[in-house]
Amino acid sequence: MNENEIMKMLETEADNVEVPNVLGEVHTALDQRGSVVQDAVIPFRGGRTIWIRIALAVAALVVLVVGSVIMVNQFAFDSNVYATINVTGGPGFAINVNRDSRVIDVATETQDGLTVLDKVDYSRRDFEGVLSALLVVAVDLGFIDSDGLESGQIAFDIETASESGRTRLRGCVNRSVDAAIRHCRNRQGHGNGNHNNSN
Amino acid sequence: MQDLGKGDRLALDGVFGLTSRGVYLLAYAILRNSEQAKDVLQETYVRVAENIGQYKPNTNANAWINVIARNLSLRHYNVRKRTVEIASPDDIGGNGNGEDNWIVHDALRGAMARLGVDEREIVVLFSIKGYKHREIAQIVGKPMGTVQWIYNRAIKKMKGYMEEGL
Repeated sequence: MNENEIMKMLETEADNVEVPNVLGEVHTALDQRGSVVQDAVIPFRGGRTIWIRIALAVAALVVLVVGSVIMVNQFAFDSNVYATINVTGGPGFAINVNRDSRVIDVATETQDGLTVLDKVDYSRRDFEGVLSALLVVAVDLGFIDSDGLESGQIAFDIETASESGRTRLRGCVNRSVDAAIRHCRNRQGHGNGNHNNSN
Repeated sequence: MQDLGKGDRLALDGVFGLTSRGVYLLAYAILRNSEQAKDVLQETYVRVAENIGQYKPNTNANAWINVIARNLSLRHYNVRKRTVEIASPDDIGGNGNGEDNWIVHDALRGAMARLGVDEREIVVLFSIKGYKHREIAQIVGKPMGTVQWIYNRAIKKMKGYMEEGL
């Protein structure tokens, strides 16, 4: 027995139903009733309601998408340490990053380092941006200067098992140091310069 | 409906003739009781006449009338459910306390008895000739996709029951 057969049977039954003729009672009731009772009548939905529903559906979709993105960001973050970048010579830092070069945490053992960390939001951010920010803040606070960066007084040691990862992170370090040197020179009114102090 | 709106009470007879089968079956599907379905049928057309001013011309009159019938049926259903609960908890049936006596075929009536109220009303509306899916969705106040889903679920249940019985 399939759907069509079931519906055919039901249609036949529906066709054969004898509908009670209550028109007489209806007219009598209408004659007797003076007041209008409207509480059972719910306004018929149409027209504008459709647009309200569409708007609500779109809003729900936006909430769903935004929520999904937040959830994915929340749970997709890889907290396994892929590499540690030790910055020595100034306010020392040990920066742990994951495979995606996102910062897991930053440790420091100096008071200057703590002062710098207070001013930088590093959690789950891109390593290069975080290192640039740490160096720029350290420069602004007078903990390091361009001479220190250019002379190799500030050293960057990359600990990782992956050679390709080391190369990639070294590139990030070099770019961050360049940015910090440019920042120093802008502050001091000097011209641009290069460096070569990462290992 | 336009004549009724102008105060021509006799126009109600024409409206009744065109729409009463759907109203009665919808009420019967929800209440599973011929007397209560008849009461709803009567009350529906009283409400139609009294509230004709609320009907928007050029919208689906059949759907509007069936919405009134459905609201009245559900009100009766809920009142009855509460009354039965107070009277005797043993009398409470998940699908109401009556039977689909309008169906002559035993297996079909048994299959209908397995359905919930929401499934029963949709299956019955689908069985009435001339009712479009959009119209049924308007009557039950659910999106068309939901209506189709409930209908498919109900048919599956009925099919299962009827095949067991064969």
